[in-house]
Amino acid sequence: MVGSGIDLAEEQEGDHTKITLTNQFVIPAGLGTPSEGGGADQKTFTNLSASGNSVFDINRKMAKLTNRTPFYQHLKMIVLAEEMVKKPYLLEDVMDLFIRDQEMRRGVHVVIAEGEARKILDIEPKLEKLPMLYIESMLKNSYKNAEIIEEIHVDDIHLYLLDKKSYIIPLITMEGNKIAYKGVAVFQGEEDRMVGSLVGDELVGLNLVTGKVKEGSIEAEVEGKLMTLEILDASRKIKVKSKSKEKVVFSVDIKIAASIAETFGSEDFTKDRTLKIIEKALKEKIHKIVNQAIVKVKDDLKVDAFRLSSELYQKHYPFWEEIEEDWDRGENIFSKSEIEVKVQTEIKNAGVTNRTEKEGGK
Amino acid sequence: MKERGDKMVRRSFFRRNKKNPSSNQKENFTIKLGNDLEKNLSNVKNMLDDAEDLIIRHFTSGSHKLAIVCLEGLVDKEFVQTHVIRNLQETNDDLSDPAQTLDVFFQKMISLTSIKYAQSLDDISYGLLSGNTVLYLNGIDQVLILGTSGGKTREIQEPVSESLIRGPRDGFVEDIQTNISLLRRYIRDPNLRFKSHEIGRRSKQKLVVAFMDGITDQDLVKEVNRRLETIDIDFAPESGFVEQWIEDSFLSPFPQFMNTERPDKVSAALMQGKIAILLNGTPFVLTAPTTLGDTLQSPEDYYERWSVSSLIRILRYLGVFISMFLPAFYIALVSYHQGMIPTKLAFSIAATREGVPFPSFVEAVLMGITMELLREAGARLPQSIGQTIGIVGGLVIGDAAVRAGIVSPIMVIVVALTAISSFTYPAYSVAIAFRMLRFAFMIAAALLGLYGIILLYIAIMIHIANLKSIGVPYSAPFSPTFIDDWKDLVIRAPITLLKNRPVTTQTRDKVRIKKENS
Repeated sequence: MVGSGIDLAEEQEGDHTKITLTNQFVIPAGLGTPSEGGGADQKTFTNLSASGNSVFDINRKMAKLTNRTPFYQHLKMIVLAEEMVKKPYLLEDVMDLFIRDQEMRRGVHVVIAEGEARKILDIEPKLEKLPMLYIESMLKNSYKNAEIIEEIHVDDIHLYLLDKKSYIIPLITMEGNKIAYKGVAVFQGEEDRMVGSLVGDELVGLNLVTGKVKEGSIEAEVEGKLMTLEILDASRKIKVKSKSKEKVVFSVDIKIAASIAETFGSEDFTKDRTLKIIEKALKEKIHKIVNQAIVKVKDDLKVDAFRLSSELYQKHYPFWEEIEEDWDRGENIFSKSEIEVKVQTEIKNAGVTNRTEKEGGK
Repeated sequence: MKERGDKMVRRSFFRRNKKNPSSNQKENFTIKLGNDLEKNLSNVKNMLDDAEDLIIRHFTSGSHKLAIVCLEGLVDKEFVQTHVIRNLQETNDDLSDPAQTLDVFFQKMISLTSIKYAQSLDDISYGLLSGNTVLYLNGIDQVLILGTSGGKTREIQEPVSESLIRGPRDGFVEDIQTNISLLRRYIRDPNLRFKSHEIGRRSKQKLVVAFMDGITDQDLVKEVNRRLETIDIDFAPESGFVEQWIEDSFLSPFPQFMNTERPDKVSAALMQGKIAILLNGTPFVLTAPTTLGDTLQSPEDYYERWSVSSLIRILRYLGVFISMFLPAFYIALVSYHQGMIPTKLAFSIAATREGVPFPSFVEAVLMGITMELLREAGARLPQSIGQTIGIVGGLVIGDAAVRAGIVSPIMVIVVALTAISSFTYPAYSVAIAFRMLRFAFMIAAALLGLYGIILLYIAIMIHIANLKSIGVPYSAPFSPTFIDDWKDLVIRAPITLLKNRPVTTQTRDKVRIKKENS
């Protein structure tokens, strides 16, 4: 068994929320051995769904439906339906078995699916034989892209559930019959429910503030021409400038080193002035991205997806103790706080050419 | 009823045999010689029941009647002719007193290096059977025993059982004198001592304990000699008999003596303060005390440069672990701990095992036994046919078994890897021990998984910690820990750093390199 998907059950009755568990069983013969390549006509996996009150209960039911017993030690992925995790406390309930049972591994990936989780399990990817392995390796691409966050595992979820801070989990979606990485689902820590999502540049902004960007690309407009810059190194420093119950002011210093990946104009990159112009353009662009993310998180979601709270927790503990209950819940001091952003950029290199020809050539 | 009748007959047969007085008579050879030549000769004839290979040659020297007696094939005939018979026939001295004559023969006439007087039939028989020639003189109750032993022995050849790429090419032969001389040639030290014993109540074989006086622990020598004296066996054709009689624990799977055909290995062992046991009639020399570390060393480790040797030794240790644990580990993983296999590998194992009807344990035992059969068959067959075994085993059985769905391809890899690893042991006797343990580990894995493997491993470790080879702990220098000896254990430090002899053997002279090299 390599994957589990959990949806809300279609028929609800009684007080307890019923869920539907879909398990993905592998058919090893379909995978074949590397030399044989596996039977092309044979399916590599089969999905089984059953509904019930608890995951454990459904698993037992599933034993009646198949000749194979669910074997969780090779579980790779848990897909949770968006609909379900929007209900308060339900995430905690369904994850309990995956955290508690000794057969479960701590490294199982957790993703949120837009739409039904069951359908995600049903796709037939081209490059991998198993949908779950496909999603798994897709999530691991995060280091190449600033629009993706690091994978979240069961042990992270365990941590998130135990403290009351807000958190984010990767969000995937179906595009036609393909799976695509959408962004992140933002969870409110108090009730462990999903409050919204961040996609595209919003997520880049979030990653810049949380300091999770390692690599990625950013497009900036330099003198009217589009230029793609590759981030080589990004770091950020957060400081608490002033703190009061009414307003907390953070300052975020973002330092970015980038190189020129692609240009559509022509510049002489040996000239310092050219680089200065590019640096300035990049700086503006990043300002825009980050501020956009801040607005969305602070005003729209009103949930501390930046985890700025840990800054307070670590460096201003007495103050944190005072406001803990009202941080991003209750009075929601977070949404009233201010985040000042400063950006420093540096172009480290221009690639292996230092001059591009003017459009049309000479 | 009929069966009972048979038994009765058999029993009475044994009884008759026991009562037969003639069987005991032949062992009583303490008869003294008389003066009469003919009577003495007939005594010898009777003793050997007028054997076909008994040569009695009468001749005269002056006025004396003489006879020489020897056994064909054991003596060097040419030698007897030129140095004994011709000399005596050409003599002109004519003494009347037989005693004086014999003395003159002894002193002047016979040009041999080894010669002695004898009076009893016992001595004569031992002399004859050792290939010596007996000279009888009429009128005296004494004989001369002339050292003429010769005959055919094997040439010194390269040892077949232990081949090296680099190292001396000579090997021990069956003749103990040659073997002793080989050792003398390696170690030209007057302190190289040989203490001889005689074993075999009937075969009366020569056995020699070799050690370095001043290096070897005296208690060790005493203990070995004490044990050798307890041997009471009629015949010991190979040093394996001696080993099994004097070893510390006969229940242990591990050999407590190393056997080797290589004089360089024995002389190196002697220099490390060990003792060597040579037996006439076999090229295999025992060395002791032996530790677990010794069993995994090859003389070549010292001949190659240290970095190479160290890596090869590490490889050998790895080989031990692979050959002992791999099938068991496979069984444990596949039948108990599927979660420990990387997911993709788990899938492909599961895919290949899909059609296999047996549990992995049966599969492993099946392949393991096949492997052992092939190996045994290959070892017993003449070399020219032995080659085919490889083809039959490797191609036919391996490939066909997989195609027939009896075993999974992964199992074939496991068995093949195990077999290859087990060929890395430098000593055959150790390889057998680990091969046996492999099956024990497989059973443990089938019963309790990894837990079982660990339990058995602990049990074996306890056994090894308990085991001694003539009083020296088998697990030394791991435990008791002699850090100094670790320089020459898993790794082999540069020769110049191996300044001291191993602590394990408690040598009297501890220093190997006297000069300060710093």
